[in-house]
Amino acid sequence: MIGIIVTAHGGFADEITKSLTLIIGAPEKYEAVNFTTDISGDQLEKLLLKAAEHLSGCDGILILTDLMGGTPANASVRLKMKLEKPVEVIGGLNLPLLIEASTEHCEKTDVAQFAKEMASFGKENIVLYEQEDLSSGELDE
Amino acid sequence: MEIVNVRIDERLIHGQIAAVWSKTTGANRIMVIDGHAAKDSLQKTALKMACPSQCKLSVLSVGTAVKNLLSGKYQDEKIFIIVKSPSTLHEVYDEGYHFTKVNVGNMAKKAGSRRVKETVYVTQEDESNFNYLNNKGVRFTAQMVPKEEAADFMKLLEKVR
Repeated sequence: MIGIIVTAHGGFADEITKSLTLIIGAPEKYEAVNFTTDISGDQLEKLLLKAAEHLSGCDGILILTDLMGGTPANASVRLKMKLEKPVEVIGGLNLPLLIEASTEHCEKTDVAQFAKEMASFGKENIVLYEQEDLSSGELDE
Repeated sequence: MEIVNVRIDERLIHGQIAAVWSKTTGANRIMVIDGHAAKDSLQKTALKMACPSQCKLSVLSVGTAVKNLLSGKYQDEKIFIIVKSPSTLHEVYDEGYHFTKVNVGNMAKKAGSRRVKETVYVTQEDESNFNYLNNKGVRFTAQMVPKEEAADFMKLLEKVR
């Protein structure tokens, strides 16, 4: 099993977790960590470490962060380098990615492979809606 | 043909269906049975957009749905049926397609409705439709998402009577 940590600026981590819960129910082996204005980058790293400790039974940890280069991502990368447990960090969190990761992570053990799949999934699921002709494609009417 | 789920959901195809139910049930066709949607190209376009890529889509009136389901048109397919309300299921049953299990997903609050559980509100008319089908031997569960335990819907309904 792979544990998931979501960390982001402001209340995004908590709020996107609410959206996730509305769609799939309460996720397992999952931690949300907010980076709010009242804490430092070092304090955030400590909170991430605590979250990782809650996931100690997992084979690895996937950290989903809102923005590569931002403090949550930077603190996550530092944590990855300090922990012995395999950790991967993704920047650019979106809801399709979070849903997919939170429904698939229980069956996975290789976090490096899982992180690659999830990063591709997140990219592929930013889509532009294009008006389709109803007669095109299959629709059973 | 296998019916993997019959669901009452006022929102028809939405996040819970597209991202979760369609996958956990292994469905490869979503069948929306709704007389209004079947006649409305705007609704059909929206349903087509919301339908997950691994599923084919049917948007049918009660009559056509029953005819198709009974005709063997969907051989080897795994169908996820969605309707907006128990009244549609009552019609489907009376038209001759008999299902045995139904899951109640989302039914929004309306004037004169009672809360059965979070996200499920029923009117007097809904209740008589549930009772009708229950008396025919149809079992009703209440489960919004697969992670939530499937509750006995008729028992919940009994509690708020």
